[in-house]
Amino acid sequence: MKSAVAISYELDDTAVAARQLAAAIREKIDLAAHAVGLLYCDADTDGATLTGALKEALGIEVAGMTTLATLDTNGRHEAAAVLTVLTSDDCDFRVAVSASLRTGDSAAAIEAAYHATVPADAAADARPGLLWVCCPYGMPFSGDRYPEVLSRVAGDAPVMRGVASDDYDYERARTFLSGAAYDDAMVIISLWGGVQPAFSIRHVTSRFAERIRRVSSAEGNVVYTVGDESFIEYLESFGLDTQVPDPLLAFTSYPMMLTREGGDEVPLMRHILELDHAAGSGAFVGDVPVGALANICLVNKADVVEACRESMAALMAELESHPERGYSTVLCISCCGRAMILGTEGDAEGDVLASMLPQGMALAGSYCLGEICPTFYADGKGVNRFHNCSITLCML
Amino acid sequence: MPGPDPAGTGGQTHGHRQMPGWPATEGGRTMALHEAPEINWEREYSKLARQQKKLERDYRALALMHEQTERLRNANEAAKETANFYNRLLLANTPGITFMLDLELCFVLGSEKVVAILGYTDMREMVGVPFDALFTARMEPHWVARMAQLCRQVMESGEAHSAEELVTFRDGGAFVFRIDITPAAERDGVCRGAVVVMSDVTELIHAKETAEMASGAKSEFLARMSHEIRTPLNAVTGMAHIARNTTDAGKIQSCLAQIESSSNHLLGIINDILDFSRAESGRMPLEETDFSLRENIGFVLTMLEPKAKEQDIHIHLDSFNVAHDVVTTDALRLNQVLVNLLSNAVKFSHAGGTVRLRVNEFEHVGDSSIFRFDVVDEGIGISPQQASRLFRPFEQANVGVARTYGGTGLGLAISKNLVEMLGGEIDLDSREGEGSTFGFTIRCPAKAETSEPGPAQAAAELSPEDFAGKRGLVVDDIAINREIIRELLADSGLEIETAASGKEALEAFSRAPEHYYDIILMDIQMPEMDGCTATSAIRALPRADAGDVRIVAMTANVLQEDVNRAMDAGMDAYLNKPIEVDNMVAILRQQLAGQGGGR
Repeated sequence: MKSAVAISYELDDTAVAARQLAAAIREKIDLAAHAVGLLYCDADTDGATLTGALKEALGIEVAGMTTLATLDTNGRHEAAAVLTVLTSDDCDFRVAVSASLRTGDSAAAIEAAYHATVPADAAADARPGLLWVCCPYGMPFSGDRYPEVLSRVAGDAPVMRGVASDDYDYERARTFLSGAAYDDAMVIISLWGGVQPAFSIRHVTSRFAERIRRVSSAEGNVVYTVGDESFIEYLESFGLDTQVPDPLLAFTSYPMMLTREGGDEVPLMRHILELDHAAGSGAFVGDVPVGALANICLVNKADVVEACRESMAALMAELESHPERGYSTVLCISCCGRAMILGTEGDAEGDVLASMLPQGMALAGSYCLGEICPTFYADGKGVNRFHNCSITLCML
Repeated sequence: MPGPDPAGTGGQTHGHRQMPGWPATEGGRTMALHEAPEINWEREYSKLARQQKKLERDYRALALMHEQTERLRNANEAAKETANFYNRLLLANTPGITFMLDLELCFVLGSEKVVAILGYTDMREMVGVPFDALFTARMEPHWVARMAQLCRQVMESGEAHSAEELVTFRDGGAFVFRIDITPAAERDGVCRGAVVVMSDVTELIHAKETAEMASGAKSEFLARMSHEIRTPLNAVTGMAHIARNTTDAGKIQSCLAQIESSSNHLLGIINDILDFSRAESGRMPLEETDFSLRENIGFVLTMLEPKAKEQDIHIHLDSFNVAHDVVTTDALRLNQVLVNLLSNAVKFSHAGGTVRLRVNEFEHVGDSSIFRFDVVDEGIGISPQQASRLFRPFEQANVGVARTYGGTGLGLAISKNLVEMLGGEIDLDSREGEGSTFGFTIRCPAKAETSEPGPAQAAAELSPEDFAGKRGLVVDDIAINREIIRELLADSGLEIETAASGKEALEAFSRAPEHYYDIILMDIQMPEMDGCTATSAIRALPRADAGDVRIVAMTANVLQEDVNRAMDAGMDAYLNKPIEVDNMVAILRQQLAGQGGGR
């Protein structure tokens, strides 16, 4: 598989942006038999027009979503559009968009979209080498449903990507597919054939709260009680202010680490999404099962950088172990919360990625409000999980 | 590497980031300014507005996070203070000498005890001070050096060290410590120092040694008891064998005398063991009666005189300074103590020696007096070392004494228990080779006037008129026991029938006419139906004599609860096995008194 990455800052003029991106791609790579475009762009971008123009210019399907910031070989970029084109003779790229997930049976809609990407001649038990999914933000269900449903219908094929984001205004997050934009639909790209992805996920926290409690009452992504106190009381016991206008942003540095009953491959991180003082509960960006050990932790700039370094190092070790696989591209999905925690040193994560990237390897990425990545992957099957506050990497 | 774009930059140069909003980026190549097309100010303004929006977003996030971080920091500080408070409490209340050293063997922190032992007043004075500098002032230098070496080993190997050892302090004190040295490692497994816990186990070791000595003494006792019991048993079986194989009447009489003597000796040993066991378990009830102390003393001395004479020992009441002679206490147990001490005095005196008994009323307050009894001999005496162990159970002065003089080694332990039950104390004043004075006190109600005669009453000789016209049923599953009683009462006039079980007894009683039996001597432990069950069944029979017939338990179980069980079943009295004739006759007289012919 070959790839090329291009960037444009011309968000106000999609025609110019499309011209710049298409020209850069054509300059860098000759398209093989199959190709697909992955677009990450600022929420101000007219993604529908841009992906439509790119499809027309390059003759390939272009899928994507909005993001808080983009990443490429040179690091992090604000207010930009980054296009990655993957092309291969032996790997087929198939795209589809789901029906609205806001209403109706969302699982059935996801399932139908997935099946639309399955080649007609595929065997009944065939599964794709990778599912690349752009998920809408603000759906009436937990982000965990995305990997759960896809794992079920795609035979545990590895699932990667995350939830569209904007600048924490929660209004402009969109997914795109070749001329159309959606605020409630999932765009799926499935990769069939010669693909052997490698994955890496990390979250590092330097400090934990001393009071660890077991989740005693929860439903989906809403936690009512931990131990014998309400979730709000638990939060306030750390001195944290729960009367804040934007809990997702205000608690960005204080995600909850979950160690689930029976043991996970890695503990899961969960950001607080909303607080309900009347019920004493908290809603999270992702499920919180009853019985899990909840541990409020503090994530700082150093932690973000360290997690990025660890994750990239693990991926590079994989690259060194498998030179025969011809890896050419690193696709990175990091958390919007991590971008915010970096504060005035917003470029730090992108700089680490760029500094550790081997010469000639392409890199593209974005920041999501929830990341999807396998925590374990072997023999074409992945244990797909929905993450927060993590950096996830996929190498193709 | 096949595939990737060699530049991989999307049109930019490594390390030089294209600034957003920078003009003329067509195709990713930066153009010279003079080549730049006309600037679209509207678009540039839009880009700037977008950047401003991003900055506002970041500012909002930073402001919110900063505020939360400040709050968390304050909460953490408070939590730290609380943690420090409890850490201080923990160190103040940690038992033993507990401290932590860093990798350089310098003091980090420790319990208040270690601070005090090393002569400091505040732990902070010790922080950072090398271990050897701290401990050499109090401990032997070679111990300090060895401990330092052990700590280094533990930190290097990561393996804990545990040992018990005698630690000598420079001021002369020596204690046995259990010393545990543990590597202080974090979650990452990297050792940061050593934790040393020294627990003083001197008392524990002492207790263990004492327990082992006690265990040894018990083993010695068992061995001795084995000898003590086997010796008279050997005499019994041997003499019985001789008697059976001879027709010489004189020889038979001699054998029987030996058998009786050996049996009595055996009974004494068993009684000692049982008394001690009952006293130790607190199951020896006192039976208080009023009696004359002087008369009782006279009885005891009279009882011991023959034995003393045999050994050419003069035994007498040396002084009796008692104003309130009539006392209320357990005469049997008082006599037991007096007999034990006087017997010992006789036993350990040289021929021609004298044993004196002194009795003094020590104090009289209200109705109660404290009496002191001193038994003074001129015998072999006891060393202070031996004296300290003398009142412990199973111990005599030494093994040689046991072998020379015999005895269970329980007599003094029993006496001590009995004296304490009688409200007093026992003591000893002795010099080796010069003699001993065993003294004890009792506290009991006492008055001046004489009331009833003393407890010692000799049993009258039996005559055929004693129980003439009375009929008894002897119930025992052992034929020889039935036969012994029949023989012992052969001259009493009591007509005796026998039954071999509780069931047989019940059947015999049921078959017999009413008031046929006047008394039933009932064994307790029997197969098929035990004595208590049979007694209950007899008492429940619908006949006139069911409640009247006297039933006396015969039991080798002499514990109070066994007696209580028999009484609860409906028995009227009890006889201990082996049966003492005098006792049995006294009980029969008591039970049959006033029955006036019965049938």
